[in-house]
Amino acid sequence: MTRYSLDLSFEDFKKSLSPDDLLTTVPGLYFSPRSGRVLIVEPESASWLVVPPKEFGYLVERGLLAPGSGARSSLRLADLEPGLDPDFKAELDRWLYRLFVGNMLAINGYAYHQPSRLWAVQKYPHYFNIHLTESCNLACRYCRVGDSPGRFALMPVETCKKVIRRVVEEIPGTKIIIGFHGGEPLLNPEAIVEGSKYAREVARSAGKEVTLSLQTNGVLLRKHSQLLKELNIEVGVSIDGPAAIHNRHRVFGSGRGSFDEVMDGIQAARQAGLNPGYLAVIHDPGDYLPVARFMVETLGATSFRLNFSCYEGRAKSKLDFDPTRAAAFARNWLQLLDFVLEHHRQTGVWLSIDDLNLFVAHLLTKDRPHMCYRSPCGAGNAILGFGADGKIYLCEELVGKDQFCLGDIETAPPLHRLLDESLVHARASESRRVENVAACAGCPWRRFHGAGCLNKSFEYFGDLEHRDPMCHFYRVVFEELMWKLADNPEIINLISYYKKYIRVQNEWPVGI
Amino acid sequence: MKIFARNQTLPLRPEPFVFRLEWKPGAEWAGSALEEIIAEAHFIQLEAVQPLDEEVVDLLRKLDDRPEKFSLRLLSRAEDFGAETIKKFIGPLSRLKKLDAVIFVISSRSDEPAQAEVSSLLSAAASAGLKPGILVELEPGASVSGLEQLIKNLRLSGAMEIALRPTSAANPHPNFGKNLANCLSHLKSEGIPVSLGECFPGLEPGLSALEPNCRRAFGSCYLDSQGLVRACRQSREILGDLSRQKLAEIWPGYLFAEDLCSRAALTVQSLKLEENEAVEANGMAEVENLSPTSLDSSLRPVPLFILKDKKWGAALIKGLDGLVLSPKGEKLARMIDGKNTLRSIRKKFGPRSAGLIYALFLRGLVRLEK
Ligand code: SF4
Ligand code: SF4
Repeated sequence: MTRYSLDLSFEDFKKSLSPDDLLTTVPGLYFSPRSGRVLIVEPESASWLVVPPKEFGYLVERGLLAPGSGARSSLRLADLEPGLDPDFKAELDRWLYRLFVGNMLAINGYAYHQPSRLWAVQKYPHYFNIHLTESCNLACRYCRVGDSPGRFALMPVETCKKVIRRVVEEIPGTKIIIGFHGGEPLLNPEAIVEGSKYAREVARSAGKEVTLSLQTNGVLLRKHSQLLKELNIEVGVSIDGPAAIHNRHRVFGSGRGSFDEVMDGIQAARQAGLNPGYLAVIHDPGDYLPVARFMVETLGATSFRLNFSCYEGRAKSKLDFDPTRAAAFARNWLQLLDFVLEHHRQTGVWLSIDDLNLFVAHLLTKDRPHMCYRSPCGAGNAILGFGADGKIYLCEELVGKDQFCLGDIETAPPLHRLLDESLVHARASESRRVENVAACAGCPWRRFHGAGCLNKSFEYFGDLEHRDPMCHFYRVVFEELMWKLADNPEIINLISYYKKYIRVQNEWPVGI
Repeated sequence: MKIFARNQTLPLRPEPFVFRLEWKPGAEWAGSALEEIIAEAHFIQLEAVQPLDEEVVDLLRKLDDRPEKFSLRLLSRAEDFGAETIKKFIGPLSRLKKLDAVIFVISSRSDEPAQAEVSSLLSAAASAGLKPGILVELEPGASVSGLEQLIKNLRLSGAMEIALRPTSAANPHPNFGKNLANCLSHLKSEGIPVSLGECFPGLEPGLSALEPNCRRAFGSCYLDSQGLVRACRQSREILGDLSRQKLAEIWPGYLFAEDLCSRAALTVQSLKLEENEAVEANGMAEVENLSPTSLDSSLRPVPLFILKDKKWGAALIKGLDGLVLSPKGEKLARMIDGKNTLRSIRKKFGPRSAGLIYALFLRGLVRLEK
């Protein structure tokens, strides 16, 4: 074999093969049969293939693939293909190529992807999430944020500016995102105004590009939309779907649903010329489809995010978390795919529903554009969270949790040094590597999913050593998406939003 | 039954080492031996021979909280103990971080309603994030027809691993070995990951489809609930008694694997044969051609364990693959630490070392990286 580039083509592969080459099985593959064909997953390089019965059967018979066995076997290429019908031999060569590029077959002991080159971890964060307040004007039943306005102080404007200055000046990188969060950030308009202007100013003098964003429950949008437009802030609104669904959990302290106020806020935002993004939290898996329909038909959105509720804050006492709930979530979530395909058939438009589009992208690339689906996740390496009191945390989700506090913006050493030297950061990153989470270390989906959210493991299980509490959801949806993609290559179009962030393999893993 | 008594201490911790423990309330090993087990184990597998109860879950929790790094596996009979009873424990089991798999043992003779129960158990366990598996016990003289369908159904219901073992060492039918091998080959060629959990005594060990995944006596041992230690569940040789001895005094470890297990003996023999070939092969040219590796590539160790033996130096074992090394070869292998390069090793050990590195490389016992 000769030198390979990362994008080895079939033609080059064929040219470099010689009959003396030694083909070796790679142990640890995952096999899953369905109607004759077999899905093979190579976990470490996140590669997968759907192989037709004839070719699969032949490779098993020759000992090159061995479902259920930990043993290796080797075979000279010359001994694999003697006396084969030329058409079948040509087909088989193509499959050898795919198996090789998928790290499922080693040639002369050499594997195509070198594990230490995949899965690089970002060094410094680019996303800084600032809690302008820890209080909120709503009391959603699944949220962790305190429910009466004024119960917690607002972030002082000076603290907000100091956070902004320090992240811009002290953290390496040229593109940064500053997200105003909370609580409800619109309860602190002064910090938004002063912080935004200041951010643009310091970014300009540091020669950096800054994007400003804000996530709101929408209730105060009527009042502040014009301002947000003027400040050029990207706005995300949390809305859980039609009134009947939204009002179940997104309520005021009195228990009254907030749907009407939120819709009014969205209308005002649009009138002001904002183009908000939408996020819904799903607690009842049966809501996936009605919520998606609402987003598209009522809000006219083509891109939105559906998150499931997590076990934290008030959800722990107010909502039910059956340990087997992941199965129903997976089943219902997968219907979104048919919804997207149907929508495209009717309108010619591809919807972009997160994380559906992201997960499809994960099947086609080794890049992991979203910080929550890497190993270790982005906590401390892609994101930092800042509490309203100026404390620094590994992630927005971890704000207020002492175990994940890195220090205080007033007293912390230069932030890049803080990150380099922080034991809290080092420990969290180490614990969340897939190889260190016992349940994930041998999981076929570990490099597609990445061991899950640090915060969710912490909230649900009480430590960082557990798999994601929705583990089964990921196991099911990644496998199903592979089968669906094998049957319907059109699904590739779902990755359009992520296209600019990823490098896609030069051969689809499905052999289409 | 022979009782072996060897005054050996446990040597290097082999990887992975599996302790198979038979559990029932008051199991003899649950006392001080447990500390020794924890110190040496990569896997601790509990096989419940009585219905699951709070006591076993408490024991698992206790093990789960230990700081040592090992994984747990739990085996429980699905039919005899009732799927509904087991389901009650799925919630608590799903909270254990070290629990690698929950295996439901079922009989090859189980009828349809029993199979349906096990199927529902499998999907409940999977939904809770557990990794469920199936161990099918083949009754003496069992027919293999029907077994195939049973296995396919269980895979469809979510069994992530599927293994077979005999109920006892009873005389199988003369054609049984061949039929079983055919059945396994057939299932594998359809992509069903099925293996033998143990040997089937009396069956031809040469049939490759009948290779057991038991880790042989190199990498596992069996402790029954009375505290008697054996190389495996099937072995009749009692190596010691935990009520009177310490585990370290009893378990001879893999140094004597050859004496304890015929398959381990076969492995050692074949590894020894290959040693000569490996060292003779002038593989350096080939290694150098394996771009993008180069002479400056560092050799990275992969997790494996080293068997030490005075007679023949050492053997490197990874999974079921390995290589026997001369004392000089062992020295070379120990230089593979991610820092030394092909060049530095060749300089130190001469050009013939290339053949050995090549042999290691082909078996995945070393990684080459720029
Ligand atoms: S959380 Fe579950 S699906 Fe994700 S990597 Fe871990 S075991 Fe696999
Ligand atoms: S802690 Fe959770 S939310 Fe934060 S970066 Fe990690 S995975 Fe994402």
